[in-house]
Amino acid sequence: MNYVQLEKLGEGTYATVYKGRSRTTNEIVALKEIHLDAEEGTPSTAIREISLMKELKHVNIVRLHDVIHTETKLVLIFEYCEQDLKKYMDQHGERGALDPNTVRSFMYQLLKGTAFCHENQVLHRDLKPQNLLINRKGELKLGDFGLARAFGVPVNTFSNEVVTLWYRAPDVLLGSRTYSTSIDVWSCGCIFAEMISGLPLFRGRDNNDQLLHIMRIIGTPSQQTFDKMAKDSPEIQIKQFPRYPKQDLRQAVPKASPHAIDLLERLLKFDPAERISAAEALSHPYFTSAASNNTFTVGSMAPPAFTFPHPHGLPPPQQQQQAFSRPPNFIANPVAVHQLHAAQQQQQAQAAMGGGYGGVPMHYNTSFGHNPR
Amino acid sequence: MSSRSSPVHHASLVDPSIHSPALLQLVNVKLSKQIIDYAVDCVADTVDFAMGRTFHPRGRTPSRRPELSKFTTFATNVLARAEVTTPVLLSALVYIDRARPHLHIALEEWALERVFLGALIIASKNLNDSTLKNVHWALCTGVFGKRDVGRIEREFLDVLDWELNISEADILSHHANITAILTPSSPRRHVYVPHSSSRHPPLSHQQVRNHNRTSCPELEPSSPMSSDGTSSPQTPSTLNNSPKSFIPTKSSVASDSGLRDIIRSFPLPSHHPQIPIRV
Repeated sequence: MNYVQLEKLGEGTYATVYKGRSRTTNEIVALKEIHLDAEEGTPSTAIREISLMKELKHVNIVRLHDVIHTETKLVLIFEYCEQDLKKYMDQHGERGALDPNTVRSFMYQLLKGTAFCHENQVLHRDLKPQNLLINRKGELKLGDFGLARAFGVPVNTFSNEVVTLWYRAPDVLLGSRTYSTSIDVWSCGCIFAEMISGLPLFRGRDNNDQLLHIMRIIGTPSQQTFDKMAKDSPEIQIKQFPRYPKQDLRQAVPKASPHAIDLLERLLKFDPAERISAAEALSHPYFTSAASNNTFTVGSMAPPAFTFPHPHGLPPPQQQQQAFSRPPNFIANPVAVHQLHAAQQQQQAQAAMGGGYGGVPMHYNTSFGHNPR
Repeated sequence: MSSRSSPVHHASLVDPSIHSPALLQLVNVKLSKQIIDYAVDCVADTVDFAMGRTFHPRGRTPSRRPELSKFTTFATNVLARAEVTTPVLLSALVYIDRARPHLHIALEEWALERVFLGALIIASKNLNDSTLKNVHWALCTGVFGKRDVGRIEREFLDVLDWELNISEADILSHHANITAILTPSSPRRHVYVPHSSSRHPPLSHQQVRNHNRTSCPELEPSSPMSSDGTSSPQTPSTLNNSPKSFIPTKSSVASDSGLRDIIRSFPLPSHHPQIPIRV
């Protein structure tokens, strides 16, 4: 036996995550234990998570070290990260809002990991703060590849029941099954706004309400845009929507800098064809311009220049230290914000339990299972 | 086909013009009797190889081996009942090719069915968002129980070492053979040529593949481990019982020892008289 199981980190309907220690290297790891049900067999989510993560080796993607597969359970051994982005924002943010330098560093790393997935023809399909892990070096890593899929070879079938509602792209909300890397980019945009403001940007109750929330901020698209989207993805259904004017994003995300607003606009395009790619976003002036960088104090949070493969064991990038040396910033929440948080936590509690390694909420499992006649 | 008006192919999510016409032709082939016979031959060839009978069937004539008829019926039924599509069957063939060098079968009984079913279930679960559960697959086979199916699946995943990525080249490796079968004028000589040497073609998108396989765990008899791990904060029983094969891959020795990747046992259909499983 090569891993000692330590305390439980979280529990979902699909998996329980424990802290663990390798007996051979003493390395601290995360053990994601998936109970296997004889009815289902090895879940397809686990099959894809393992086969994809085994190959995706990048500093901004949680590393899968090992797999133990027995008749009754499947244990995935991951590199250990202290917490997920959601918890990080709750603890270190000012009412959830992170300081601009931390946002820039995390956003850069998020896009870097996402771009790497896309380069390798993998869609994550469930990017959200709960699935992004932060370690004590300030590295952000994409986790929970339970919904991820390889694409690029015409042998697949895809569902449109993907991505957690609040982070789901409008094309998917409209029923598209011919979505692409741009759906992850949309999620990145939502996460970006959430890191800046401390609150999820679009908080719909259901598919249709989510679309309305989106349109109230970025505006109802023109008929031409709808028509074009319907042509690009013939399976989508366009109904009549109220005609909302486009709102100034500065009102929705008041703390965002002009460069941040510009990047956000490009990430949150209603038409997927117009959305910026993750790779392009990395060279946006928000990350590269002098105007952005002049807010950095010497030696602090420049976008991390990670190498690949990441030299583990080297000292952490020095620019990352600052975010973590600062004490947690607790500010009493006004009642309204508190209620919002409560509602949000209720909705997300299940997902959050797994601690970003993916205690996949039940509705994914049920929506994917189908009974044969 | 339905992607004609879309800039994105519905089954690849990329511009269809980047796919080779041969590939598009192949995935749209009707799952006919000839294709099933071809798949049956692929499986039979791989099982022969895995049982060390490499040379006998190589020279086989176009006339089909009569002993394959039972398995052909099995395959035909499973494919129909589970509504398996051509791309999934082609991908299963890719997995069978990939498993071939690592597959060692000691027990002939049901070997064809097990190899075929293992590859098929994994391909189906990996490629479709909506998939059958093992209990459904068991029903589709008519002979295996859900625990048998679970075991077949687990052993095949282990032999593949979870390497489930499929490239265009993987699928195209069957193009010539299938075209030959489907072209009426050509003589029926589909001598199946395995593609084990090219199972990780350059088209494959990952830069790094870990070829250091850990050895196959010694399979316990199917009696499930007692689940006393729930109340205890200790290391779960499976961790205690797992053999040294679970040393992280990086530290495993890449020696080509004959012990690795052996499928030592396979479940038998429940109605079948129990034969000692250990080899």
